[in-house]
Amino acid sequence: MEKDTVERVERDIQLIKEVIENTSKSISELSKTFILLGFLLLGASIMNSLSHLLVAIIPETLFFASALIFVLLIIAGMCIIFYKAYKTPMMGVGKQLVRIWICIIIFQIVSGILNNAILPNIFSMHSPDNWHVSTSLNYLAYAVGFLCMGVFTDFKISNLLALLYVVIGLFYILPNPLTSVKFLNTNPSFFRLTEVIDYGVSLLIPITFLLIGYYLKSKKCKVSKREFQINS
Amino acid sequence: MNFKSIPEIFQSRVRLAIISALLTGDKTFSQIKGITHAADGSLNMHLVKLEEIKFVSSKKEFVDKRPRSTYSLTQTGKTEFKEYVKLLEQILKESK
Repeated sequence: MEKDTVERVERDIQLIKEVIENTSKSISELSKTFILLGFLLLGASIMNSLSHLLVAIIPETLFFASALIFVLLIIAGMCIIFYKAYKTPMMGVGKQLVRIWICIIIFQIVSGILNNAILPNIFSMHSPDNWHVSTSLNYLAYAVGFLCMGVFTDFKISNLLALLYVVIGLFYILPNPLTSVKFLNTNPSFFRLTEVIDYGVSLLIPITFLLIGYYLKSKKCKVSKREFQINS
Repeated sequence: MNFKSIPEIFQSRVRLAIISALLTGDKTFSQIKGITHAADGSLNMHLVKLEEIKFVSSKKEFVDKRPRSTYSLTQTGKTEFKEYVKLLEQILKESK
């Protein structure tokens, strides 16, 4: 075997590895975005759950001050993520998916502000239906995001998550005893059950983001090895 | 076995880099340029060649009133590239 041939083969393999590694960073960056979002949303969910306990213990003004600081931290965190996603030289599907998720998160924030601050305080609209519709729309928006991921990538788990979030979205909007009694029924045991379901579902979102993030991270490592078996 | 037995299309490092880059997803002309560091004319020539032998397909569209070409690897290109990688491994094994 000619020495030149072997050297050239080694150079080619090295080039292929490097290009695959560099272009796979797009998926890697996508995974980082999901992991960061997951931790932020996990913090928000825990804070939301604790707030019901804290409001009874600490003074109202102190509670609202700490809640405001936390909300500002969440918004700052989101801004950092969006800025990093915008500046990162991502390519192809990865970049498009980050854009889709940014739109979904913006929709969630706008929807949250509309339903929790503007509708009740400015227009005096306190209808439970608003809460049901907005909650349902939020989960259906997640379903759209996961469906897009499933369509544009080969991450099969994403389609399953889309289905799960469609079910949750329908659960909140279709009439059923576990959601409608929250506002109408004063039975404490029913109330607790619906609360538990709400907290459980709210924790599901950050957990989903974290799982997707770590899944994408591990997926990135497998791409080159699985497809082309470059072992040298 | 020597390097001459390798298909001619894979004997260019720019073409090799283009195909490797397209393995991880579709890329625009400027993205491929950023990866390969090739000059516009040279890169265009290699892309045309890859399209001619149906290894790569392109889609041309206007984004913000500017033309944009997006390239993707065809099934033929992917299969041939897999064969090529196998060949490289074989050469390395034989050399040891």
